[in-house]
Amino acid sequence: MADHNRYNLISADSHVLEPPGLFQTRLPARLRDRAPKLASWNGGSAWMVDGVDPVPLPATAATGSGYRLGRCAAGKPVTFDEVLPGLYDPAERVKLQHADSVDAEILYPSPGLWDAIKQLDDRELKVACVRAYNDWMAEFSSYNSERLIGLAKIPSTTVEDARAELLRCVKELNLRGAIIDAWPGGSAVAGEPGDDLFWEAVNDTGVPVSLHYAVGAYARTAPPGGIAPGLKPPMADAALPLAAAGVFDRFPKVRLVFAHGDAGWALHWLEFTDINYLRHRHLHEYALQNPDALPSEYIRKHVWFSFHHDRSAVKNRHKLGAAHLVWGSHFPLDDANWPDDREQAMRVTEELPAEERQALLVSNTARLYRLPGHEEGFAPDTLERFEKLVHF
Amino acid sequence: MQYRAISADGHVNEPPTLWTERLPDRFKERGPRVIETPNTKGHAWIMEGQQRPSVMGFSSMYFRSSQRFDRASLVDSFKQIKDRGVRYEDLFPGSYDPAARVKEMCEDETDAEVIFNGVATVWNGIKLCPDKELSLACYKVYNDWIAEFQAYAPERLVCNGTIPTTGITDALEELHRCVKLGLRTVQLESYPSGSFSQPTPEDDRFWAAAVDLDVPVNVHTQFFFPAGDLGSKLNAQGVPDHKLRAKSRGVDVDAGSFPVILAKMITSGVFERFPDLKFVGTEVHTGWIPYYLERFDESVLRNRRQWTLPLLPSEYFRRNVSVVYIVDEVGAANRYDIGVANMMWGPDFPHSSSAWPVDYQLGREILERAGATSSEIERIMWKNAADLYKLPYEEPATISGAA
Repeated sequence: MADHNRYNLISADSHVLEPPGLFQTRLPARLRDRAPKLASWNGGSAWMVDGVDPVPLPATAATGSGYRLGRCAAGKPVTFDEVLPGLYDPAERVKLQHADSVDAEILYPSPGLWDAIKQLDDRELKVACVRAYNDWMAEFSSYNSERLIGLAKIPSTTVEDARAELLRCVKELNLRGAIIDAWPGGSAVAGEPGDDLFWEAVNDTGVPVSLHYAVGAYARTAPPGGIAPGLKPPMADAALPLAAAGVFDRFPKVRLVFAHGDAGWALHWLEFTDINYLRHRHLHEYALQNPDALPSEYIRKHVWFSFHHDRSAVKNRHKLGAAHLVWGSHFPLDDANWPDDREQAMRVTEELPAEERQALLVSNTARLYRLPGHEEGFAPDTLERFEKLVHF
Repeated sequence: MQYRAISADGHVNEPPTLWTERLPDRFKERGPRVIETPNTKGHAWIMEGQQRPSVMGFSSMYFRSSQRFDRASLVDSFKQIKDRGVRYEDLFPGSYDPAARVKEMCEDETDAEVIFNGVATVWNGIKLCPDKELSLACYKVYNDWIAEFQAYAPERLVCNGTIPTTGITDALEELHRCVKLGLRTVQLESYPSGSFSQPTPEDDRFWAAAVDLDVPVNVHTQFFFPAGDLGSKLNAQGVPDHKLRAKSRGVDVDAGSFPVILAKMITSGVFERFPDLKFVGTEVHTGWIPYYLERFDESVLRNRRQWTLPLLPSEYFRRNVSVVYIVDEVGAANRYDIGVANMMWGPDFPHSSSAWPVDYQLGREILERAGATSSEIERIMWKNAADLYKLPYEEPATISGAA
C-alpha cells in the first residue's frame, strides 16, 4: 500500500486464530470455568469445549498455508508456541501482510473452534463467547483499521441475540461486516419469518453478512482439505430459500458473501436454477415476488463470491456479475499460498484487462466493506450487470 | 449424406404389461404392474416390496413444442400431471413401439438415438426389491425386450441394456448376455457390485469385461432415484423435496450423483487400470465440468504426496469420459475447458425436458450462439456419439421412407 487509501491487493477471506486466553480473560467470572480453553492434547494444542471433541489447532497455523509442504510435516500436531504470532497479534499480522504483498484482509474467525462452540447447549455461555471474540476482534482491527477488517461473529442462540450483537458490533465496535454460522433463530432452513428481525438490522446497517462454506446448526464451516473435485459448497443451498422467502424483497440492502467456496460451480447451478424455474415453476411450491425476475437474478444481485484458485469464475465473470467476485487468500488455511498469495492472485487473473483485474483483486472488496477511500460503495447499476444465462 | 443429429439421450417407457406377460410364472404375480392412482386417475407402477407406487410423471412429454419452449402448452401439461396424473394412453407411442419411435425421431430431425430405460417409474420397485431373484428376473425381462426394440432399426436405435443391482456375478452375466442379444452399450444403476454409494475392488471384473467387449458404460444422471421422486420439485422454502424424503429414509442422494461417482472412479484408479474403458455420464450436463476439473487438478498438485496415479484427474476425464447434456448454454460457452470431444447432445426425448419436435433446431442454435464452428457442432451433435457407439457416418437409407 504505497499511498494512504491506495490498495493493490485485498484478501476478502483470511482468518485469525483466537488467542489462548481469549475466553478466560473476557468472559464474566461466573462463566469462566465453562469457557473453551486451549490445552495440551495429543502432542499439540487443542481447544477444549464442553461436551465436544477436542479441536486441534489447524496444521497450517505454523506455516501460514499448506503451500509449502516441505515445512509441514504430515499429520504433526501443532502446539500454540509454533503458531505464527501474526494470527493473533495485530502488529505481527501487518508484517505477515507485507511479506505476502497483501494490503488488507477481511478477517474471519477459526472455523473449527466455532463449529464446536456452536454445539454448546448454553445460551448465556455462547453469547458471552461471541461477545468476547467481537470485543477482541474490534481491538485487533483498531490497530490498523485500513488493513485489518474484522468481521463480527453473530450468535445463533435467538434472533434477538443475533440482532443485538450485530447492532452492537456495527454501531459500537465499528466492525464492517458479520459472519453467521447458523440461522439466527436456530431454524434448519434459511428465510424463516422469525429471522426477519435480524435481516431488518442487516438491511438498516448495510453491512455484508458472510457464510463460510456451510451454514446451519450442525454444519461444518471448516472447508475439507485434501484431494477433491470442485463442487457446490453446502452454503449455496441457502440462496434460493432466502429468495423464495422474500428476504431480498423485504430487505433489499441485504448482501451475502459466500466465503471460501469459489464461484466456478455457481455457473451451472445458476443456469439450471433458472431453467428449472422457467420450465417447472408451475409445479414448484415456491414463488418469487417479482414475477419478471429469475431466481439467478435475485441471487446474483445479493450474493458476493470469494474465490481463490478459480479461473473458471474469472473467465465467466460477466455471467456471475463482475462486481460480485472478490479474491481471497484463505490465509492461513490449507489452500492458501502464503507468502506467495500475490503471485497466485496475479496468476489466476492474468488474462484480465487491468481495470477488471483491479476490481476482482481490490476494489470490489473495498467497495463492499466501504474501506477508506471507497466509502461510496458500488454505483448501483454495476450490481445488476450480469449476462442472461438462459436464452432459449 | 452423413448424419446430422444423433441424440445421445432418449428414453422408452416400458409397456405396461411387459412383466406381467414375460416374467417366469412363479414371479408373475409379484412383478411390476400398472395401477390407477385413486385420486388423480393416472397410471403408476407397483411391485412386491414397494410401499409407494411410482407415478408416471415427468417421464413422458405428451404435448408438442411447436416453437422453442412452448410455455403455454408446458403449463397445461404440468397442470395435468398434477391434477389428473399421466396415463399410458397419453404417452407418445414411440415410448414402447419402435416403428412409432422412428417416425417421432424423424419429426425431431434426429437420425439416431441412444435409448435408456424409463428411469424412475417401474425402476424404483425393481431396484428396491428385497428379493434379489425377483429383481434379477425383472432386469432380464427388460433386456430381452429392449433388444427386440432395437432390432427394429439397429442403425437408428442404440439401446442400453440395464445392468442389475443384485451383485457382481449377476452384473457380469447380464453384461455378457446383453452383448449376445446385440446391445452395444449398458447403463449402470449402481456400482457393478450393487452398491449405490461406494466402488469396490470386485467392480474391476466388470470394468475388465466392458473393455474386452468394447461396450461403453453409461450412468444416466445418478445411481439412485428415491421412490416417487418428482425430479426438480421444490418445496415452499425452495428446498428439493426429494432430498428431504430421501434423508428421512436414510438414503444419501449425493453419494449417487454423477460428479461424486466420477470423482470416486478417478481417485480409485479405475481409469488408470482400464485406460480403454469408455464411461459416459448422461443427462448430467456440462457447465460444472470446468471448475470441477480445475479444482480437482489443483488439489492433486497441492497434495502430491497423497496422489499415487500418474495422470491428473482432468487427463483421465478427457481420455475416458463423455458427458451428455440436454440444453446447456454455460457448457457450450465453456466447451474448450470441457473438451469438445467429450460432449454429446442428448435432448432426453420423450421426457419433460425435451423440446420435441424442435430439439435438433434448439441444439444447433445453442451451439451457434456460443460461437461453435461447424466442425465443433458436428462433433457435439453426432460425430462423438457415432464414434463412441460405432455407428456408420452415413445416414440410414430409410430416412425418407420412415418420415
